[in-house]
Parts: sequence; structure tokens; C-alpha cells
Amino acid sequence: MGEKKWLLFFSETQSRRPIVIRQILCNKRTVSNLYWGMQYHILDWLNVEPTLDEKKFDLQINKLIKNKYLLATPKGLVLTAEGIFQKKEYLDNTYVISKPYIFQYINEKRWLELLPLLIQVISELSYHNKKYYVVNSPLRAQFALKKWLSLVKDRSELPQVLKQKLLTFLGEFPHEYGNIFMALFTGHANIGQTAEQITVLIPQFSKEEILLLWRDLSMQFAFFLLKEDGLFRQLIAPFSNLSQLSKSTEISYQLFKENLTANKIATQRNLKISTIKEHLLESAILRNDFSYSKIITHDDYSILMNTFKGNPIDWEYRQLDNKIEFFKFRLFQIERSKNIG
Amino acid sequence: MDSSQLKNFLKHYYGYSDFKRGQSEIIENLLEGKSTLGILPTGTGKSLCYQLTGKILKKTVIVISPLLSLMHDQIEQLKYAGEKKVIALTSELSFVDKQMILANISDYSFIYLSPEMLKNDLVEKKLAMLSIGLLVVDEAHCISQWGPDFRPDYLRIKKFRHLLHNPLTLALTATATNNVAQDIQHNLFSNDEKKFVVRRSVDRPNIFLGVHETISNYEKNTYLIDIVKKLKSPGIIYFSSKKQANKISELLKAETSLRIAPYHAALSSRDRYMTQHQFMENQLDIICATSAFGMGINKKDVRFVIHYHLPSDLESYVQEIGRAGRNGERSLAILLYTKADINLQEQLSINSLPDDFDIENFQPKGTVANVSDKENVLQYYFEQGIPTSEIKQIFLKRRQEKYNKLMYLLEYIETPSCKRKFLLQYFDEEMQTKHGVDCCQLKGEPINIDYFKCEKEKKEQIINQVSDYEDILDIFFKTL
Ligand SMILES: [Zn+2]
Repeated sequence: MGEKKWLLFFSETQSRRPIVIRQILCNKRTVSNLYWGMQYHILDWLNVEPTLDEKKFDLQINKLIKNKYLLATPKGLVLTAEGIFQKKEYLDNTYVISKPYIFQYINEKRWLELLPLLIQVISELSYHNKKYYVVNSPLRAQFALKKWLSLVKDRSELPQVLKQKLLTFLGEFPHEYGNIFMALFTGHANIGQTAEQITVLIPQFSKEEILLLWRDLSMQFAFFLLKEDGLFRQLIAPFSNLSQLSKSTEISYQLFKENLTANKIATQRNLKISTIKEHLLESAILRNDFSYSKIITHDDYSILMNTFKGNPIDWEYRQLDNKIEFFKFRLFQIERSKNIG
Repeated sequence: MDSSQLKNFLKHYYGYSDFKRGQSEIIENLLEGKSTLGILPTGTGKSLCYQLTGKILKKTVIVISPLLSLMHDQIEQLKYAGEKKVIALTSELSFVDKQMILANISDYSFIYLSPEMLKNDLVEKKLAMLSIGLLVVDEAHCISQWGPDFRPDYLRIKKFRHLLHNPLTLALTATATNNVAQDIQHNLFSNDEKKFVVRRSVDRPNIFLGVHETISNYEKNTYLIDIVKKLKSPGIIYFSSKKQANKISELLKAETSLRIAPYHAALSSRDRYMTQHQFMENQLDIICATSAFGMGINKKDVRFVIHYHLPSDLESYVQEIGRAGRNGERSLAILLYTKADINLQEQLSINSLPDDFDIENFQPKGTVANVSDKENVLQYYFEQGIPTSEIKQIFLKRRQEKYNKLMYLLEYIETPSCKRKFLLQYFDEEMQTKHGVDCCQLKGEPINIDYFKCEKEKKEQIINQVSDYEDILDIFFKTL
């Protein structure tokens, strides 16, 4: 059953290359991956499977082809009628991460190390208990929590606040999700259960689904805390990056917003111009506030609009006869794709 | 310090009113400034010896320990007992964390070190600046090149100790034959130092020793299902593979109404925590484990330890069954075996050592993180500049040793006389008690399982649904 989840990333009309899907899932941010990820409308899934095993993924895709759920075309793979049916059935019967885009904003690993510790420590705090076995957690999580706690002036309020936040947050989901989610945590006089144990009690959920739910809800809870004001925001802030862009790209993009040209940015940052152009393309793809007209001039637009009609995905650069550089062509393609998108 | 003062400290810090045998001798030795080798079987509170000494001396204690899981368990227990100034310096740490810890190293009262850290110059330098009250070498038998658990990094300890100006030292091990004990002293202390040994018998008279031979795995499983239904829990069943631990855990869950979970290195650290603590809180009846389980667990009421596969030698067997009956109540150790298991264990033992082919084709590498695998052992010998032919001889000898140890284990199984007597002889000890019905099963006799039966006490109710999250939140967070 494991391989069927990849059907979610394929379309019945658009051929898609599995390698792009895999690279998006494990957050390999080349401009080409991001561009195709945008065309496939799967950019929300960036970084959802950071430890995806390449070989296993390829084997699973081959199995989907062998089972005739996917059909090979020159431009990639497309869902067959049976594939469409299987995809729907999978969606109807399986837990699927509902807010995948959050995995771009929050450092999943760091947060999932910290959350069980946070809940246990505050739970024991509410009982004034210092004698307990701390849940397995890396030192960096313990340091992060200690540092945050030292900022809290009145710790006695924490249990009530955290409890209320969890109640409000979990109230937004089917009740059973909340039950599964909380069963995975350890608190005062209450040891959590393993996914294996929960699946015995709630057989509708497989072990894999329980772990997906745990990741999904944990990440959404982080996002929920981050959007609110106050203490908990400060806990998560060090593990969050709301800009969506990688660090270096973010710097280039800020300079671009300050009206520096690509050339100037390159000089100032002592980077190659080609690198800066990649940064700008990445920004154009991932952000919705990119001002294309700072790069594409009025005249460029006339040429581009006269040359290209129809779906941007089908345009080819050679149609321009070198009248405009590839960088501008790609930007125009991104802009127009987004308008359709 | 006299013994009543010492007891006051014990009461004050740990709430116990009496020491276990061996503990006070060791602590008294240390307080008199005598470096000591303590040979105490598992379950006799080895770590209390250095924890209490550290608290009395009010100086930094460094503990070198080879197993991360053991180290974490001990730190957990120290923290549980209210000691918060504890830290572990291991290769698991990120560079940044390591820097941060080292910058504040003098804040810690207990510093655990994994042996590969001894190769780190900065760690050495920082530690050498501290005023060390006590250096502890846990699992000290790892220093013996002829022992099954030899760790080359342990041979660096002597130099490290010298660097720290030969502080007061406590070497601890659960089992050591006389040869191994001598090896430890030789590799740790200098010749002109006076050495003291405190040895406590490996014998645990409240554990009944039994062996059950079957002709096939099918029969073995049938017998296992039959006895775990009758035996009083909690219990541990040991396996030599993760796969089998999972498989039999499933089988027993299907065939009994007991609460059972597997435990091995392939579980996530979250699952390992849950499983271990559920077991400690009696929310599980049986753990199906590999030897990764139980190093540091401090559960007093384990009623039985069953070995589904053969252990590698009598040393590990004694350690593993030692997890039963720590509260002194009558407990049971059964070794299950079929003739085919001998081959399996032989393969496991022999595969863990490099053979001539491995040695001839060995490519020395730089420093490698995991010290336990055979490449690293080889790396050590190559670094010493020992000729290949000699290395081959060394490992030939070690394979022979392993094989001999397995043969001793088989002799234990086959011995027509008292098993306890055999075991004790192996560890150069005399049996103090006489064989009787409470001692062991003699070959050919059946094990009287009824003797260890569960007195139909009321069982804790088995959880059959996941709690409502609102209830959990009410329990987790006590609010007014
Ligand atoms: Zn006997």
C-alpha cells in the first residue's frame, strides 16, 4: 500500500516527472525543480519528506507503472483511469497531511524534538513535581526549552495557557484526531503510547497514518502558536522561517526589493551574476510579491507577448531567436503561469 | 568517616537506610583515597557507589561509559534523584552544543564521557583543568583485550588518567574472571599504585535456573506461549535478533491476553522511552527485547527472564538474568534452546570478528564515529603498526576464545549436576549454599512452572480504548 501515496502527486492530464516530485518532497531547491514543481502545483509539498529514500521511491514508482496506475509519456508519467480510481480511493480512506506547506516554515525536526518535552515539563510543573524521567530528547531541545523558560516571568500560568491553547487548537479537528494526538504524549503520571499500541485500539488508523497525523498536527500546532502573540511564539520563532526562501536567496531578494539590479547585487555580495539570477528566479517562484517589471522592460513585454500565446508550460525559448535573454523568458513564463495557476 | 555517618549520607540523598553488599566497602575505600576495582553483579547499585562518593567529596566526577543507552539511563536516574548538574559528552552532540558544554564544563558535577571523546584534544584540555574528585570507568572489562567486549578506545584511559594527574579512580564491572580482573588493573593503573578489589558474588540465590530444550522452533514457541500464560509477570524475553523479537511479540500478543511490546535499537527513541517506562510502571507484562534493553533499568519486581536464543556467553547470561528478582523475591531464569541455536550463535559470534579476508583487505580510515564495529577494532591494531600476520593471529585467538565461551555455555546447558555450582565455578567462585528445589533444574528434570505461577491476583485492567483528549489535558495540566 505504501506506494499508492505517490499517486496524489500525479495528474490525469499533465505528464509529470517523478524525479521532480521526489526532489520537491525532499526540498532540493534547484531553480529547475522549483519551476517544474510550480507547473505541477506541488510546491506546497516542499520538504514534507526530507528523508525520502531515492531507491525506494523509484522502485515504488516502477510498481505503480507495472500495476498500470501510471502511464509513461515522453514528458513524464500520467494517471491512467485505474490510477485515477486508486488515487480517489486512497484519498477517501487514508490520512493525508492537510497543511503540507507548513513544513517550509517550521523546522520539523527541531520542533518534534521539543514539543513532547514542552508538554511533559509543563505538565510536571503544574504538579510541582521535579522527580520524573524526562522523555528522550536531544540536548539541543533541552537547551532550547531551558532558555525559553528562563524568559518566562510567571511560570505558574504556563499550564493553564498551554492547556487552553491545546483545547482551542484540537477543537478544530475531528475529535478522534485529538485523541490520537494526545495519546502520543507523556505527561504527569501518564506515559504516552506508541503508534503501534494506538493502532491496536483504533484499527482504522494504520501505524503510518498515526505517525503522519502526529507530524501534521504537531506542525499545525506550531503554526497556530506562531500566529498568536505571546510567550509561545518566542519558543517557536528560532525554528521558523516565514520567508520561505533559503537564507542566501532571502538576502538577494531583499536587495532586489531595495531596487538594486542583479548586477549590483552580484557585486555587493561578491557572488556570480548567474547565482543572483537563480536567487531571483527562486524568489519569483516562491513569493507572490515579485515585481517582474523591474527586470522585464516594456519592450521586452511586447516581444514576449507577441511571441507566446497559450499555456506557458508549452513555450519554448528558441522561439525568441535570442532576442531576449533566457532569464527574462523564464521570469515571464513564471509570471504568466502564476496568473493562470 | 565511619559507617554510621556514611549511612546518614545514604539516607539523606537516596532515602535508603542500608547499603547493599559491596557498596559501602567501595565507598569507604574511595573516601580513604584508595583507587578500587569493584566487581558487582547487575542490580547491586553500582552507580550509587560513585554518585554518593561524588556528593560527599563535592568535587567533579567523570564517568567513562561505553554504551550510550546505558549512559542515558544513568543520567535519567541521576536527574530523577534531583541531581541536575549532569552532562554527557558524546559523539551524538553537535559541534555547537559541544562548544557550549565545554565552555561551561566546570558547572557540572557529573560528566559522562563516551570513550571516543578521549581522542578529542579540546575535551582532554578542558577536563584537565578541572579539579577531579573521582574518575569512574564503567564496564571496565571493555579494557581487556581478551574479553568479548574489547574497546580499543578504552586503552586510552590510562593516558587520559595520567593527564588528569592520576585522580582517585573507580573501575566497575559486573562480571570478571580473575584473568580479566588482572587485565583491567594492568591497563588502568600504574605498577607502583596500590590496587584494591571489592568483589561481590555473581550468585543471585533467589533466581531459579532452568533450561528447556526443544527439537524445533515450533515446539519452542508452543512451550513459550504455555509458560508465559502461567508465569507471574512482569518478565523479559531476550532474543538475538530484532526481527525475532518483533515476531514473537506479535505471536504472544495473539495467543495470550498479556500486554506485550518489543524493544530494540530499531525503534524510534520515542517508542523506546514509552516502552521502557510503561514496563517500569507495570503497564506492560512482557518485553520482547534484544540485549539493547535493560542496561540501566532499575525495576525491582521482574519475575522472570527467558532467553529465546542463546546468549553469547555466560558473562552476558548472568548479566541478563540478573535483571530478575532485584527485590529478593523468588524469580525464574529459563534458557530455551534447540540444537540449531548453537549454529546461529556461533555465526553471530564469529561474524562479529574480522576474519583473514577482512584483515587482508582492510583499508585504514580516519577517525570513525562508531567504535564498536569490527573495522574500528581493526583500525586500532593497524594504527599500532602490528604486522598483518600478527593481527591474524590475534583474531584467530579471539575467535577461539569466543568459541570456547560458547562451549562453556553449552556445558552449562548440558551439565548433569547443579547449574548454579557450574556457573559459580566459571567465575572462580565457590558455592556458598547447597543445591535444593529452589536452586536449579537438574538435567532431565522438568521445570516446575507451577512453582512460579501467577497467584490469580486481580490484574490491572487492560486499556481497550484511547482516552478522550480533553480528559488527558485535564490530567496533564493541573489547574485550579
Ligand atoms: Zn542447583
